[in-house]
Amino acid sequence: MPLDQLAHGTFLLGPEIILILCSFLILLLDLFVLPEGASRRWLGYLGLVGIGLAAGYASVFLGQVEQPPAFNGFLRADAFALFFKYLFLLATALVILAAEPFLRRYQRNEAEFYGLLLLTTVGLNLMAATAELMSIYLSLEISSLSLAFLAAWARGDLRSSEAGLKFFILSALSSALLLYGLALLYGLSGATTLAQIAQVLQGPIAPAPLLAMSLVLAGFGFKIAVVPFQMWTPDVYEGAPTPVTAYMSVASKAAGFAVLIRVFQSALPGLEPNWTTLLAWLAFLTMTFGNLVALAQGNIKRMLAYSSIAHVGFVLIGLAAATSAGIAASLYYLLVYTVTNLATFIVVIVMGRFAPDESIASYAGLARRSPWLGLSLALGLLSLAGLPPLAGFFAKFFIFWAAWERGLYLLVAAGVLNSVISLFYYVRIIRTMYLAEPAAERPVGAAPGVGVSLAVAVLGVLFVGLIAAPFLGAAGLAALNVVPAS
Amino acid sequence: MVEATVLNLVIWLPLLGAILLLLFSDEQGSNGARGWAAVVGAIVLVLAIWLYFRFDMAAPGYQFVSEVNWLRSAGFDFGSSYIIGVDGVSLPLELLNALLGFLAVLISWHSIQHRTRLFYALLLILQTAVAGVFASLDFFLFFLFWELELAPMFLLIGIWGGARREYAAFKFILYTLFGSAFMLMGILALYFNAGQHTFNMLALASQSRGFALGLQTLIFVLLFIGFAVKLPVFPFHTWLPDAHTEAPTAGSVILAGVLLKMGGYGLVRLTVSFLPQAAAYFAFAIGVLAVINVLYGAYLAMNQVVPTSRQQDVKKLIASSSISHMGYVLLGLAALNQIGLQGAVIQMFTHGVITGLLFMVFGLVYDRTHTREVVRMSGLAQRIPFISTVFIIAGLASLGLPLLAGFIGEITVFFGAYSSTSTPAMPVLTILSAFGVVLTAGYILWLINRVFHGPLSEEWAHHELPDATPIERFAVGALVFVIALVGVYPGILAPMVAHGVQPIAALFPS
Repeated sequence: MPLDQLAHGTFLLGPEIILILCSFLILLLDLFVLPEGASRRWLGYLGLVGIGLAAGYASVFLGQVEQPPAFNGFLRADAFALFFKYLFLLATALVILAAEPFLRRYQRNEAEFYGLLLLTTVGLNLMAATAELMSIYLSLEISSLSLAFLAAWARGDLRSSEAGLKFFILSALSSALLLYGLALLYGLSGATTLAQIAQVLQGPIAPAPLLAMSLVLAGFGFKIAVVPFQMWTPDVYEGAPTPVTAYMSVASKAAGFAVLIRVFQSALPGLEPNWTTLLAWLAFLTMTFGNLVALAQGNIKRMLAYSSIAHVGFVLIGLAAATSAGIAASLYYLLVYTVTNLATFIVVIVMGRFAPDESIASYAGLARRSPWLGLSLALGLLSLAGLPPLAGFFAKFFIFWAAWERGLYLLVAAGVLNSVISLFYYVRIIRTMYLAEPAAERPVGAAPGVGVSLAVAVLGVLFVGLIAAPFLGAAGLAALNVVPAS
Repeated sequence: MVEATVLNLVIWLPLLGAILLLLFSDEQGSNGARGWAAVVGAIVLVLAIWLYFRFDMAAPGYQFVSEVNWLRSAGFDFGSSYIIGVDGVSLPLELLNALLGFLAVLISWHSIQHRTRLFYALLLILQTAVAGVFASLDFFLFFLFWELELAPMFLLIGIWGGARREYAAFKFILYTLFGSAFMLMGILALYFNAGQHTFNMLALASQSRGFALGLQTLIFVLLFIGFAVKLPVFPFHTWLPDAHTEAPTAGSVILAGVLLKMGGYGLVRLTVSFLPQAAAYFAFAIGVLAVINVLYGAYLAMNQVVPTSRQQDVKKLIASSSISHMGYVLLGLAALNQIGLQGAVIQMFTHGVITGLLFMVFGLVYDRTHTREVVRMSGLAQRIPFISTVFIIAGLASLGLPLLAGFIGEITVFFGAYSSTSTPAMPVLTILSAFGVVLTAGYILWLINRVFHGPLSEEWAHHELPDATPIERFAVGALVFVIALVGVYPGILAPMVAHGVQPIAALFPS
């Protein structure tokens, strides 16, 4: 019954509808209600309220018997989707709070920033919740387009415009590749839902599905910045405003992984021997490339860009394992990576005012200029390096554990050695912060909202690892949605 | 059980103290920071000594065990939990950690002047990490604590160290992490090859002892590399001279006195005990490496006293002597019998206190002369008699003078190694290692003669050289007391170690 379908679909789309309405409300308030010179910060807090409401709504789906998919199987509200939705909501909330220094400095179109950010979140949520080809593409485009605008936000800054344009062009290219792959999948199977495609693509391996798989991988490879599709990452990350970089590095990457996992696990299980090998090689190349080039960077945003490429390699190890443990480890890693990267980037955002050239050398003596900021950045970097007792260690450990269980011994060895290499450039920054004399004497301060988001992120870095059980449990339940228990 | 709670306190009180220190003290620390750190260290030491007296020599296995359900949930249980406990091998090392941790705070009382809050906080965090390593009964927890000591030690060397401190700090952390990478792979290999997947050391050990020889040797090599970097075993020793030399006094004391013992402990408890067939297979090679350690370390130390034009650095000498003396630990390990393993653990304890004392006393000298070069110092005994006397005592202990602790460790190792039946050619290796004692006597006595005896050099004749302050006297005096105590009455240590080593030695035919 179409009306029933519509009602059920609306029920499942509740969080997204709340976010859209909130976004529109922000824009309308800015246009018609708020006077010209008034502070727009309250619109940001309104956005936070919207996120809170969306999260509260989504909690309706927690723990219950799984909701049946809506709209003929295109929209799902399973544990997998919920895991990612909470991840995106967390990331958006922290970025809204942390964007304050940038928006203070920029002073233009603040409401549109918040509104667009919320709409991007809607796109990402849909990417995680959908199990059907056309809506995958649709949600991907929603988020990519929004992110391209966000990347170009600093209109007076040439690098920002360059970043936005590069991101836009490369998104278009990757979407084209993806569309080729998706079209092939449709053509081969006659269906657009992932489950139905899987049913058709059983049996002996033929060239056409392999081609489709490669094209899909290439399309999403751009999104998650896997070698050899990573070339845009350093330039876009460096040029875009730092809050947008932070958001891109965690949220859109996680969303790309969400869709990749779903497509490969749900639609292409028949081709598993092929794409696990492929992913294992890509994981190795990505880790190694990201780490080695990061060694040479002097600009902190570029370094973090290459480091995020390296971390994508680690997550891919879990995907290459293709067991429920492997997927769970990857999801947990994405959660840990979100809080850790946000912690790191928030400090970079605060330092944006005091270190305009974004060089690592300008962080000299930060531990003395502002002990809490120095400690937060140190904890973030050590977590990225994978040192206990921080969350990054647990994330890496579980990835290696899952890979070893599957027999990917060499990949584990490569991963472990890459962690050692990465420690060098992370510790170099810590060295600059703690050991070197301060670059300037002014203490570094930040607005309270930024402090709150940084505190939340750092608490996550400290405790998501030590109290891993609930998060791992959630990741495990999410993984069971896409992989049968093994 | 009260003792289990006390063991938890011994591990976690320093960390708690560090957090409170960071929150309630200003950057300079003033009197508050070091006093607070000293109080925490003293409390932990008292608790550790109390645990020592509560140890039941009649009961087999681990004592003071406590377990907390940690990383288990409905969706994910991978076989790890928080289990701690001690036995005859780890309790002396816990005591060593508590003792040196407390005394390191005292010895830095006057010499650390800037960023004191951070300094004492890092010392306390380090103490927690090492205490956790020795008490862990779960391999994942062990690895977690093992990695925890990296960052504090890096900062300690890098901020308050000598002229080449940044190089030394980087070398230390990268080298150790590199070794840990191999250890992690060894741990995963153990876990996944065990029939029942668990990280619990007791359960894992009983299963790993049944592995095929090929598998055992592979895992043995992986774990050995990880612990060999820490011990350090030639050729993974090159980080040690730099790190020990450039570190501040307290850093050197903890590094040489305690951190090196983590490697030895790992080898005794986790490698030999888990993989006995592989240990027997590699025993001769380990014995050879031990001899190389002893002799090459002595050679490096000798280099510091030979009067050539090259720079002669006292701390480098002490660091090289550490490499040499840890070779005795390795020799005892290679013997694979009760006396040999006992000697290895006793040597770990005695070397810890002796080298700790050596670094502490020389730290006092360095605070006054601000140089480590042998050529620039002569006849210091005339100006700083107390410090000189203590250094001489420490030096004599280091070369194994009877009635001091060093003799006990070395003689036990030599007896055990000579009488080893599991390993071929051990008598020869023992004699070669014993030669190291002669070499130690050579460089130590030459150093004492050069630096403390003889005419007072011109540079210091007109320089202010105050002798040790009361706090410093107390700190070094405490270590002298322990060294003399163990030397005169080894029964305070040996039976407990024998009790702990006995189940491991029982794995090997004698």
